[in-house]
Formats: sequence, C-alpha cells, structure tokens
Amino acid sequence: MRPDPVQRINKKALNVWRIIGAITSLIYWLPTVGYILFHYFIGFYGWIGWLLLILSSVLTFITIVTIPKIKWLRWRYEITEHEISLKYGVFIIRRSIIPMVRVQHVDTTQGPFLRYYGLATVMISTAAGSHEIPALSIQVADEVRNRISELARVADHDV
Amino acid sequence: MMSNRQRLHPSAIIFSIIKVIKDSVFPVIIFFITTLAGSGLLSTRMFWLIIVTIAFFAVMFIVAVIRWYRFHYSVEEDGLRIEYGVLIRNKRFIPQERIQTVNLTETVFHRLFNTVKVEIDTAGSSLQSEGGLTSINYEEAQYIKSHFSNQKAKHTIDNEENSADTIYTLNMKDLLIEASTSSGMGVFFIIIAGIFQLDYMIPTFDLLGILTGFIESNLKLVLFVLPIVVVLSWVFSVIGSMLKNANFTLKKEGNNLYISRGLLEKREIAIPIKRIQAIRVVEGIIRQPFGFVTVYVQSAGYGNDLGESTVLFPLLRRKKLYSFLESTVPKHFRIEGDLDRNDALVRLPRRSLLLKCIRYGVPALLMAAAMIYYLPWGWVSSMFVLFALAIAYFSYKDAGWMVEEGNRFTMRYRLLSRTTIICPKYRIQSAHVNQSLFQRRSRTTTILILIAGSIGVNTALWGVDEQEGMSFLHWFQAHKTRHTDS
Repeated sequence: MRPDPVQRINKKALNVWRIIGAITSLIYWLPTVGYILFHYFIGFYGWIGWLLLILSSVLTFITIVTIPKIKWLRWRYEITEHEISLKYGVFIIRRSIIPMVRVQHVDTTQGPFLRYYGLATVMISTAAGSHEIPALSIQVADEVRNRISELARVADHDV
Repeated sequence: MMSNRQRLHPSAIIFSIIKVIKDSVFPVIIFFITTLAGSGLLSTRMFWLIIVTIAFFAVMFIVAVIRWYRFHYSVEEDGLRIEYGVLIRNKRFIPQERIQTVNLTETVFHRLFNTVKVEIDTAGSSLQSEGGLTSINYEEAQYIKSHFSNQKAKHTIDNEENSADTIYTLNMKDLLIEASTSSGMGVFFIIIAGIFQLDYMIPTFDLLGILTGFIESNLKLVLFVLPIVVVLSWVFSVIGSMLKNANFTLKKEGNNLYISRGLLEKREIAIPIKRIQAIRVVEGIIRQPFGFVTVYVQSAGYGNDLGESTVLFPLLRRKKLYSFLESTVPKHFRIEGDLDRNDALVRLPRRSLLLKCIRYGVPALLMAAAMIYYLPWGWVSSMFVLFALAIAYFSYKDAGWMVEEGNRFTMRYRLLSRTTIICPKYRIQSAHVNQSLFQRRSRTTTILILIAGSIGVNTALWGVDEQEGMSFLHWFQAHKTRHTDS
C-alpha cells in the first residue's frame, strides 16, 4: 500500500482557519442569545438556556481550537512526476489522486485572510473540476504552481 | 514577436459595461415603470430611484475599470499567461497543448475600435471569463491565433476499423414502452409524500385534516375526479415522452455518433466518438424486471460546452446490450461478459450489508417514529423502514467495480435504479477514496471517480473494503512509460 503523501501545508493556515472558525461560530451563538433574550422577557424553562450556552461554548471551542488543528495535522500533498496526491479532511478523510496528464491548468488564489498572512491556495483544474491545496506560503504556492504546470505539459496527453 | 504583460484594449471596459447594462435593463425598466405608475414622475421615490440607478451604474463603471486595470495577459512561447481579479488575485497559465481552438469574434462595436474578441477553448471546462480576451487589437489577435494554432494537439489514433454505418432506431412499440415506464410518475408520488411531510411539520395547520375533511364532504366528487386526474396526467406525460423520443435514431458514421429524435421539435446531436468520456447503463426500477436498459453517453464538450450526459438509446433489451455497445462505441466503453455473475465484479464485503442497513435504516426509523407520532395511519411508516432496508440490501448486492485489461474501469451501483458506468482509465480525471468516521471503524471506504462532463452524476461506491479501496487507488496511480491508448 502506498504511503501517505509527505508534504504539509503552511502552519499559518491554522491562524486563518481559526479566524474563519471564530466568525462561523458566531452562528452557533444565535440560538443561545435568542433564547436568553426570550427567557429574559418571557422566561420559562431556564435550564434550556444553560444547555444552549454550554452547547455553543463547546461548538465554538471545537471550531476554533480542535478542528483547525486536526485539519492542519491531516492535510498532506505530494507532487510527483506522474500525479498529484492529496490527503485531507477532518471527519471524512479524503485521498485524491490527480494524474498529471489530466491537469488542465493551475491557479493560485488569495482571499483577503490568506493574503494578510502571506499565503495562497493552489487550484488545480481538470476537465472534471477543480481541486485545491490551501494555505501555502506565496513562495511555495508559486513554486508548486510552476512545477505542476511544467510537469503537466511534459506529460503525455490525449484530450 | 512575443508580447509582454499587456492589458486588454480599453474598449473592453465599454464591453463589460454593455454587458452589465444588458443584464440589468429588464429589472431596471420594471422598477421605473412601477415607480412611475405608483408614485409618478416627479415623486421623491422616482428621484431616489434615479439616484440609485446612476449610483449603480457608476459603481459598475468603476468596477469595470478596475477589472480592466487588473487584467493582464502575455503570449508566451508555450502558452498564454493571464492575471486577473479584483479582490482575489488569480494567475493562470494555459499551456499550448491545452488550447483546442482560438476563436475570433467581433461585433459592430468591435469594428469601431478595430478590435476583436478572442476566445480560447480548452477541453472540458469553459474558460469564458478568464481565457476569453474581450477586446484585443486585430493584429494582435491574429498573431495569437496563428501562434497557438500551429501546434495542435496530437490526434489519437482511432483503431476501430468498423467504418460501416450502424443504425439503431426505436420502433413504435418500444417508444410506447419507454414512455410509459419512464420514471416521470415518480414525481407524483413525491408530491403526495410531500403533503404528508408538510402536515407533520405544520401541525397547527392540519393540512391533512383539511384535505380529509374536504374529501369526506365531497367524497363522491373526489372519488370520481381524482382517478381521472391521475390517469390524465399520466397520459399527458406519456404523450409528451413519445413526442420527445419519436423516430429516435442512432447512427454511427465515421468518427461520430449521430442522434436524432423528436416529432414536433426535432433535435439532432452529433457526438464525436473521440469525445466520449464514459457510458452509463441505467436499469430503472420498473424496467429492470422486464430486461430493459437505457444507455447514456457522457461526452466532453468543445469550448463553451461543459459536456453533457445524453441519452444514447432510450430503451434497449439487455440481451442486445453487448452487441449494441460493440457496434457503437470503442472497446474501452463496452460491457463484455455477464456482470451479474458474482465473481465478475469486485463486490462489497459482507459487513457492508449491515452498514448499509444502518445507513439507510436509521434515518428511515427516525422518520417512521416521527410519522407514527403525528399521523393517524402510523403503521404506514413501518413500510418506510422495510423499504429502506430493501434498498440497503439491493444496493449492497448490486454494488461492485472491476478493472479489465488494465484499462477499462467498470463500476456498478444502485440506489433505486441500477447504474453501470464504463470508462477507460484515461477518461478518469481524478480518483478518490474517502473514509468517514463511521467507515473508519468498519474499515470500509467510498471510492469515487471524476469524469469530465458529469457534474451531478454521482460515480461513487459506498462501503468498499479498505484494502480494495487502496488497491483501486494503486491501480489508478500505476503508469506506463508511454500512453498508447486511444
């Protein structure tokens, strides 16, 4: 059985994901805050409020602390002469193989959060869709992009 | 003469503004008309509407300018390089070999500026917004076109010697069968189920109660009308289906498959055989017992076409399937041998049966429990669970995949209808093996392949043994030193 791909993505990805996680977890607080207000004005079933509070806190903790860490620990990629190998995912572990022959084009993109930390995402497109390697440092991202671009052209292809 | 980083001709700004105007003309006119009618020409509302519209277009103009400012392209020896994006910076390089065609188009406005629009088409995806250069100086465009047209992609060798025409037509009887067994009726039952669900979700409204009350008080009327309505709608759908597929003809000629069908609205499609990505054989739940299959072909488009899944033949007898495929598609897309044999395909491990039962059974159980709680005829919901378990069983039994001659990949799965996909390895754009938390403990995985032109078709197999999954990936990774496939 082939070993897992080797390369890891940039550690600063954690920061970006944490920030995004923080923003997302605001949503978890909506029902809690809503219920507390409700309870304040109308007030019954106080224990539900406590339950929601605990729930939101737990979810927020997981979203900001646990998940980004696991995500970062798990994200691996590897570029060989013949293929791009990816392994990622938190709840569902995904292994992807994209043959170099099938690569149509490679882009690097940077959203505002990534740009702040000097990171970029590499997007690899095949005829069937895109795949991405998130949060590499700009330099590495450019290198990866150029390398894939090189290899993709050298590879034998028919479509 | 290779160009450095350049921008598009400034007229591109005008073109994008024109496009925005074109897209927004209709709603804007509506707004104006309603405001005019409602509040009058000199009202404050009208005033604000005008201000907002002007502001909107001003913003659009600014955005267009920024976009133009940020867009750079350069023609290089071996490809086209593009940089674009306002908030998000994108860089792209389209290698020579990926470029299928370079199209030059021009509108009246283009002539004003002596520019043309350059569209660069690659296989598979549509790069309109990025690979399309909206407005370039004419000479420059010509240069680009000739520069990239010089080296066309290699032609794959067509090793099918069968150049004789093959024709398949759908006769009257089969047309009728096809129309009447198609799954359109399923929608009707879904609507009924939907009504049940709605009632569950809005108990105070008591939709079902109202419905039953109405039925009870007008029982005779309903009993008379309802069956007629059902039958009529079914008849209409059958007629519609027949009109659509009338005179269905499939012809293989040279390097193309030609499909024509329709009575009132005739459609003709040409599918280049070289562009076929995969063949799908679908056996619907009603048709399968009678031994009928439907064959779909998935093809990758040229240029703007994202590729599509088309009906290759709407109704075929399973016994004829092998010879049908043999006379229409290349070797790598055929089914040879009986797939129903247990040892033909790599099957799912035993434990997947139990897992599937859990996977389908538990949600069904939850739904059933809810239905029992809310609905008067709760026992119906137990049928639900039985139904779910039946699906689990059959989806386990029919699932499988295999590799033949190192190259031809076949995958079969079932939810309601049984689908078999056949494609050569080189048509698989990427292969994936996923494992959810649930699957981790049972050492099963999901294998998934991506094929061009099949967005929305789920080519995945759930419950594949871990080792088998890895060997699938392993097979996919193996490479020859030279590709000699066609």
